[in-house]
Amino acid sequence: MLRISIEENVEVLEMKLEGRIAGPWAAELSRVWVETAPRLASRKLVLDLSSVTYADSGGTELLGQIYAQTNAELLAGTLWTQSLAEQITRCGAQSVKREL
Amino acid sequence: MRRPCRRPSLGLQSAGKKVTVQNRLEPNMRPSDSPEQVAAGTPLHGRAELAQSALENLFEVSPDAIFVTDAQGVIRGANPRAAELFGHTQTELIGQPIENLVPARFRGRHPSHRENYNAHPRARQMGAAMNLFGLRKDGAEFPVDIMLKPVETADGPVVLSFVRDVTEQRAALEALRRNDVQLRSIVESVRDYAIYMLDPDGCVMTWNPGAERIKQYTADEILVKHFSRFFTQDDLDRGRPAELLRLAAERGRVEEEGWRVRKDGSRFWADTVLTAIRDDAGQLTGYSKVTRDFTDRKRAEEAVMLQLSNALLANLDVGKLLAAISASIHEVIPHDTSALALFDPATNDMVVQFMGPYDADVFPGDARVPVDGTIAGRVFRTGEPFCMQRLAEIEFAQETMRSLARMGMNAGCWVPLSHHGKAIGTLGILSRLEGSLGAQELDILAKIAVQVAMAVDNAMAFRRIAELRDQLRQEKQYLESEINLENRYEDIVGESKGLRQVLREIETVAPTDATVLIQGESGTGKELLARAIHRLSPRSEHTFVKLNCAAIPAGLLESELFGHEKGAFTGAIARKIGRVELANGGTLFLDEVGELPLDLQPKILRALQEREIERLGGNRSIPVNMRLIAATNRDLAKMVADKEFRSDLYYRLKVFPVFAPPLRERVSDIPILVRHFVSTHGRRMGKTIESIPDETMEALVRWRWPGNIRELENFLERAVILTRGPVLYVPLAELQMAEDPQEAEQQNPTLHEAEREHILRVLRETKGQIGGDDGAAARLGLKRTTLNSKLKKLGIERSDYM
Repeated sequence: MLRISIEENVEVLEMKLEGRIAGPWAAELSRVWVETAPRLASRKLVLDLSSVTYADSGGTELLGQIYAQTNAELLAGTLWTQSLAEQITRCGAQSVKREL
Repeated sequence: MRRPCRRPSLGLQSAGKKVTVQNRLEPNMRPSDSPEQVAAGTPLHGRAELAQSALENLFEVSPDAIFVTDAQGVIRGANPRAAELFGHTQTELIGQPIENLVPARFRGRHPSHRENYNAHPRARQMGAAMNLFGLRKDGAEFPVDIMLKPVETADGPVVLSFVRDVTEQRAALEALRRNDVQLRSIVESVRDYAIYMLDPDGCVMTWNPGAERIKQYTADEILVKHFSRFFTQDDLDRGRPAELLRLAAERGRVEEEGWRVRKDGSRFWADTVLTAIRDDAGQLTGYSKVTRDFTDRKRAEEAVMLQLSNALLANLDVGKLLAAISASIHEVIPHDTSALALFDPATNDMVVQFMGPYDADVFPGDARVPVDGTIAGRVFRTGEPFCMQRLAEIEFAQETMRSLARMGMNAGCWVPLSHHGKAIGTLGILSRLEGSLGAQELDILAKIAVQVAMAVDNAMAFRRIAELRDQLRQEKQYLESEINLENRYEDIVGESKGLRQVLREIETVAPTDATVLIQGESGTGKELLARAIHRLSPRSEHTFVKLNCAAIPAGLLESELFGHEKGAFTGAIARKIGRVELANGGTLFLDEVGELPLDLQPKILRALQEREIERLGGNRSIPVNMRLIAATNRDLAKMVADKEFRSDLYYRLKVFPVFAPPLRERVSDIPILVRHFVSTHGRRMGKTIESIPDETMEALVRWRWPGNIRELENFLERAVILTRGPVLYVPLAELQMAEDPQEAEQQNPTLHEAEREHILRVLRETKGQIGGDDGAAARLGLKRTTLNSKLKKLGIERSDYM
């Protein structure tokens, strides 16, 4: 299960993710991101990962792509989510390299 | 300009004198070199002279026989063509009665015809309608057309007879008549087709018995009536009749199928062809209409569709589907084999299954073909149907062509299979007969494909479900084994008084539906106690559902507990049943209940009191009947005081509190637990450990085990791993090193502290009962008054042990 909550103000759009970013929920996150991205405009994106409990390779890759596109700020709490955030930044860097 | 030669005036050869003709020939029977043609290139010296000259010239060269007869019908003149046509010399002809050139059967009436003509002389044409014949000298008859022309001469009136041999025209007409008769007899005899003609406006001009049978109108009723009366009201409202006439005029021909109306108002399914008819100048002269009554075929198709649908619904196995499909298609389209090709996204190719006269060498049965270069692949990719009327007329990859040739298939139809807009494969039928499959078969196959696609999709979904079911079954087996592994402590190990007291409490509360709150330090086996309560309760046949409140993100906890409806929040892609609902009839164990967010606590309270819940995003109350067992290692009373936990829920949970004692208060159980764990892990690791040294056991008993039984078990598991041989090896140094001064102090308390701790433990075990046979005073071997005095002296309050 994954719960996606979006809060936004004039400067920041925060996407809070809670639960598992895997399988159909990764696809759902992708869908939500496609809907949300145009609204981002020049605002900063904050990805709150502190309540994420699991992310499969597809979910991690997707977060990496979002990170590469937006240079989002990643919020992590537990050791595991800190590790996930590091993976995301690595994925994002690779994604940028591929695009170059 | 060249002038035509002027021929000498011959006059009309007659018996010894010339006949001068004064009248001109009628224009409607004008031989070549007519007077007009001659006049056109000649200056006029005198019209009469010129006409005479032209006529004499014409007489000589005319392609028609020309006779000049007197009032008695005697031939007075004849041209060379007359001699040639009738086989007489010109001389023989002169003086003969004209009747001699007429077959004997017509001669009798000839004199009266002549008299009538002489009485009313006029130019008269006697053509094909009169069926006239001439008679040759050799007796042969031949058909003729005749034109008579009265002419005044100086010698009196004569008649010019122009006789034309029409043998060829008459033969052509006869052939045409015979064809017409044959065609009419065919049209008249056809009873299965309505064949009729329409004028350019759509009015019925002809009618055949087939039309009468199908549409129920007689010719008298329908002729000159407009054909729109055959259409349904819907078609009339849409202007379909006029549209069909327009389309036929534009395209030359229109074919369609649809409902039509009979005279009695009943409907029939018609297959119609409307063809525009044009004259040589391209002008529209009307339409031909051929209509067949296909109601029976339509009903048969519908019956086959129903049969197919039933067959498909009954077969959820993709392998068996093709047999059902092939049998049903065969009832409407004869063919030799059918092929179901399904796209396999894993390999990016098509899996083709053939169904037909099975021959392992010819029909592969089940094969994989690429998408590129194959007919099925093209139809799958483009979504467009494909019809092969002749193998020689198509071009695909060599392997495809070879495969078709090897199977001996010369015609085929392929249609795409798609369901809910998603392409899943193709359906094809093949025939050995060239040209046996065409647009009509393609159309029927496309209709069948709609149902087949649905059935195939169902079958594939069924297969996926079966796979998932297998997976779940395996997961269940695994989980059961895990549970069995976890429940290896099913018979809770220990003989200490403290443990026995807890077990007695469990036995007491288990049969009731009371909520139980298990308190105790981490690792003391709270979950084990909860499972034991469930197992001993009347709910043991139902589910024991566990939820660790600390392990679920706070934002998801409500969903986990109560479930949610699809779309309740972003990410809720499907309905989810919560743990409370899952535990219906059974037991819900909320571990780490102290971590339950404050805003969720009233919802749990409501579920306990009202026995109903609502899923997140739902608007329906769902009744639930579950027993709650909660556990925590936190001091809930303090949390209530600090307003971190709702008091109403706290008191609702604390209906029956159970205290799981720490291992340090069950010291006498340690040797039993050590032997139990060493035996269990040794067996699991294939090691035979026969003895535990005394000093090792003493050290284990002496250790305080702050992590309680969990720590003891993990420590012993490591010891079993390290053990080589039959004697348990324990890294005792780890236990000694870990002792810090504070712990050492606690391990060697003062007499005062030890006495206080001992009294407190006994008071907890007796639940604060001081007097009586099972009271703390009796257990401590003291009088009640002495114990009360010690409690006062040691500063022990009731709140310290309750």
